[in-house]
Amino acid sequence: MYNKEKNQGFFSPSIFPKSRRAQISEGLTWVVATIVIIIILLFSIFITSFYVSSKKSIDIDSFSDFHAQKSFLSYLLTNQNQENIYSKIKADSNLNNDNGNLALQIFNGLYKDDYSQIWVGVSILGEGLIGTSMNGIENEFFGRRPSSVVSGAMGSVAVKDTYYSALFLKNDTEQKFVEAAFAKKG
Amino acid sequence: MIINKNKKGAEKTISVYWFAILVIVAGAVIYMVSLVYGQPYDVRKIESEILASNVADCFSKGGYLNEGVLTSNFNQTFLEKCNLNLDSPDFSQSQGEYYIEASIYDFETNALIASSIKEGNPNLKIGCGAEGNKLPVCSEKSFYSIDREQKSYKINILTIVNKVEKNVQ
Repeated sequence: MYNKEKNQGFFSPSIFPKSRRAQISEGLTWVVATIVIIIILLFSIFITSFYVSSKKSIDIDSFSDFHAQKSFLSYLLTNQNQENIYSKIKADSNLNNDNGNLALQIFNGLYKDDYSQIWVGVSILGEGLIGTSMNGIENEFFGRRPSSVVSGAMGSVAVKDTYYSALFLKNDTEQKFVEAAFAKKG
Repeated sequence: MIINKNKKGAEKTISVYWFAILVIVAGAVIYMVSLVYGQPYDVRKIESEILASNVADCFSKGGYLNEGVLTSNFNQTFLEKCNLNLDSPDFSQSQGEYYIEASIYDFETNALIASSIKEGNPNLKIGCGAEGNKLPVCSEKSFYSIDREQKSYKINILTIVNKVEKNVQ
């Protein structure tokens, strides 16, 4: 009796109304399943094309600036009053009027358009939020050292694309470095 | 007997349905793979930056301007001295796929010191700053350097890589 009911055509509703409902529900299941499969496939194609459009242009992953690094080295080798800037910063443990203004002239002059924040100064290796980290000494020319970690909404933190170039200065009570930091725009 | 025939018919319909689904899924997978691997990767940005770095290294190393950079014959022997080869055998029809322009300025006065070095295909320069998909990639870099006599310089380097055919579709 069950089989008979199940296999009746759609056009005999008055005789087997239950069979018609079963067939409609079974047919609907397939239609819904097909639509779901097609939606999943279309979504996958959309994701793939989106991924492809954004990833087909290869850029340098680890952000560094070769030319800024070259400028930084030349800056430290520049002589002022018979002494190079590296030695002067090492002796003073910070920038002075002469080398601070030259640093502003070089780094702000050449790279201001490329970076959102530029900082040159002396850093001390110490304990940070995540293990050891550099703590920059504030100076009157560049202000505070930009952090690579920025705080966001609801206490969240994000890593900001910042490139640091550092050279060891001295190891008295603390390990000091002369450092240039370039925070990327965006 | 009727029941059996109907059952077979239903099974056939379902097999056709599954086959159709299989074809759709396979087609979608093939389309996605062709999307990923069908288009070339555009590596010209890296290429232009590497070229600019090599040119910068040729001008200044270890913080000091290299000797000979300011001499009059440096412009003529620039490619040879910097170990650069701008030939592109994959693009035999083109007039050159690269362009390099380098200028040295006095850092204090901003005056151009030596005449600018210009090598490669200068027509590519038109594409810099223009908007469009199939355009050459330009990389403009500047850096500060000093010579052994402590004279300071600003060096501007412009490198352009075309290679549109192999990098953009």
